[in-house]
Amino acid sequence: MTILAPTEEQEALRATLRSFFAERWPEEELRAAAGSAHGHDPRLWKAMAEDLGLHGLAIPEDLGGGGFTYPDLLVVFEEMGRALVAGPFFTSVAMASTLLLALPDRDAQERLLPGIAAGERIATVAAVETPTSWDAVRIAAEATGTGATRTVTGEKLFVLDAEVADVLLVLVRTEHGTGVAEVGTAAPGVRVEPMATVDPTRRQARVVFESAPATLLAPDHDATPAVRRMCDLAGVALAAEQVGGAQRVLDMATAYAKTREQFGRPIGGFQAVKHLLADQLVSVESARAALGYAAAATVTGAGLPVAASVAQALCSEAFSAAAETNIHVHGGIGFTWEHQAHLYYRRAVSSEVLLGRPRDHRARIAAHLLAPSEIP
Amino acid sequence: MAEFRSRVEAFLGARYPRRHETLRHGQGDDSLVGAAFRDSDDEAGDLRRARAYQRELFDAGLAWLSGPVEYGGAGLGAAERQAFAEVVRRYDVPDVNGLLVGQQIVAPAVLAHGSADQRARLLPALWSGELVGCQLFSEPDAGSDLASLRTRARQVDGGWRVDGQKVWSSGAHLAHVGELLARTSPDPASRSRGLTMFLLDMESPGVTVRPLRQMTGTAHFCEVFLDDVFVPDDAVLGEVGGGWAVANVSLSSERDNFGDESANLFIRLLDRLLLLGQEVGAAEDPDFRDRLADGYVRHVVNQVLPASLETATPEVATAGTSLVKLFATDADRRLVQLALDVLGPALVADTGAWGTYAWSRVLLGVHATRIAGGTDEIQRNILAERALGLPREPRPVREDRRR
Repeated sequence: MTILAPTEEQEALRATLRSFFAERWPEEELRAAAGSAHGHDPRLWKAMAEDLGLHGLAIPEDLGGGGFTYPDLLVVFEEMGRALVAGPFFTSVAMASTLLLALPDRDAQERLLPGIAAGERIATVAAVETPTSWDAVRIAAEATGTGATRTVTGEKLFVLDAEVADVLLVLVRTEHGTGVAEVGTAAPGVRVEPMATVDPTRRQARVVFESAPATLLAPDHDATPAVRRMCDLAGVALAAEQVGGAQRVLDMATAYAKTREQFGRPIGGFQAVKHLLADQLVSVESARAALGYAAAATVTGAGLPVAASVAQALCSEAFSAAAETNIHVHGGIGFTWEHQAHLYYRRAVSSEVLLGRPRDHRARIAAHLLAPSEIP
Repeated sequence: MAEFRSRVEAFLGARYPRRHETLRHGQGDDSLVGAAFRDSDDEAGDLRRARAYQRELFDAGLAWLSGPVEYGGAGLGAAERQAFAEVVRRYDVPDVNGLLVGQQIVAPAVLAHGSADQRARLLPALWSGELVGCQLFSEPDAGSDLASLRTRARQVDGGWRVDGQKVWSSGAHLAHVGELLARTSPDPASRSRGLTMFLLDMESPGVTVRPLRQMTGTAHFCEVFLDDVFVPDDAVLGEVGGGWAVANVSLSSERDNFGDESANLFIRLLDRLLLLGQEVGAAEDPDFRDRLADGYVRHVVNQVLPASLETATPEVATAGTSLVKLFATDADRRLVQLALDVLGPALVADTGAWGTYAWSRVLLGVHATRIAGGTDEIQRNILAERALGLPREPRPVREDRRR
């Protein structure tokens, strides 16, 4: 078992991103976006695309991207998680782009990916229909018609940033099993109903389709393998975000514990607080190790489904625990609206259940372990 | 690296069965004590087998992978060390527990602080299994606060005379050489500055070793009484008064290697728990599946965490061994608790069924890991202070100031 150690180029990218977000995404901007109608900052979005080419980083060059590797992109997610960047980047890049790249449909890739890579088109994935499971394979939404020309009828929940998206990639039932239907958000028969969300930086919506005109992508194929690949790769991207966020809240709590004094000394000098933070450090570093392991699997492809679930299970719990500890170490201040602690906590809990709860990922791992084979 | 791996595979494959081949529920010895937290029923036999295996490894150049060639090492890097650990984990090799103190605690201190003669004499011998080492640090009144130790070494003609009592010395009753930390400054308030490290010949007159029976029922760690023991000048390891720095090399290395050792044990316990779950019909139980998978997640992290920490910030990397140890002790306890929940009463009373009551020894033994090599609380202090930069613990009140 190996991890992918960061390359020099990735460390340089990390440094660039750290100063970019420090300058372009101060707390005022974050709060403005969080309080805005759609939780999206088009100016930042444009700068991310035009100044840094982040959206297309891992999209091949002949499809309008930068042709970098997926681990390079993971650095971006880690830094965005750290900075708590609001908006549809995760869904458009980690989900929709990944799904398109995994589908055997070159026309769709050429039609959609250059726009996504340039940040000119926002795509999202409409997958889940029931609130109890993230099981993308169990789908009721129908795509009637033949070949690529279809109409979609059904209802999807928890669709990320649907209000600002241009394109919906809708998981539907087809004669081959699962299909991916491309539907414009402005198309007739599409109704986007925003859901109230705990996390104001990543919005969700219910999307209702009533005979909405659609293009079925890779119409002769079952899209299940592509959907699974998207889940795995997006899971690793989410783990990267979570590690970035977890490190940030641990830094915040540690800095506060050094300066806040009670009983005549910094509270970070009391073992009750020191040990609390030491435990979070163990948790964050073990999450980072699991991320490194999963990042290596995105390159080799070996054992990616299990590695992605290992990372998701651990990184989800680590971020939530660190965000909770951060609130606690700050005491009353940590419970106020004005402090950032709740914003990170909101992101942590919404991420924890976004692509399957930790226990769902452990269930996947258990299924793998209990199949007859040697534990690797 | 592929070539190195196949060399290791060839060496082990010619001598030992693969772990997976020997693993069948109900077949063979169901004992879990062999590798379980330094607890064995047949230590002398284990040690004999370990030394024979170690000799073969040494002769094949596979014993001390990262060590310098002139002292019997293979001069290889961390990558080879990790590759070896991964491959050896797949084979049923003799348990080398009895040699680990010498190799992972004594040898690193000799390499870092020993004279040329000490290195040449001890390093190849410790790594070939010819010599067995033990650690003589803790005392009845000096545990976590090691710097308060009282064993005294008085300078005499040609060497030192040592009086005192050591405790929790794993394998001291079987060891040839002891890494002995003693106070050489007459001022007790000198604390860590007044300590010197010695390499004690365990056969020296005045050394009495008494094994202590531990809570598992076996006797593995020892009390060591030192009664006017003569130690020659050339047995001083490092500088006179510089013992604290030497001890820190040993302690850090002990924690560092704890990860490998613990990962080896962990995968064996996870294997057995998987079999057990299937055997007792727990394989469909969602709680069992959830916690077994959690065990697997921790197994993965056990293996990749040390490498990951090498890329962390310098502050975190420095305290990495404490972090690995805390992670591993927590993982061990979770797994043992799962065994208890799967087995229920069959873990605390022997039904005679294969591979069930055997877990009781692990349940009892697991508590050692949170104490040995620095308690969990000491590790948390180290992480908080060195990795996070939080304020240090208040300094002890010095006797002279109190007066």
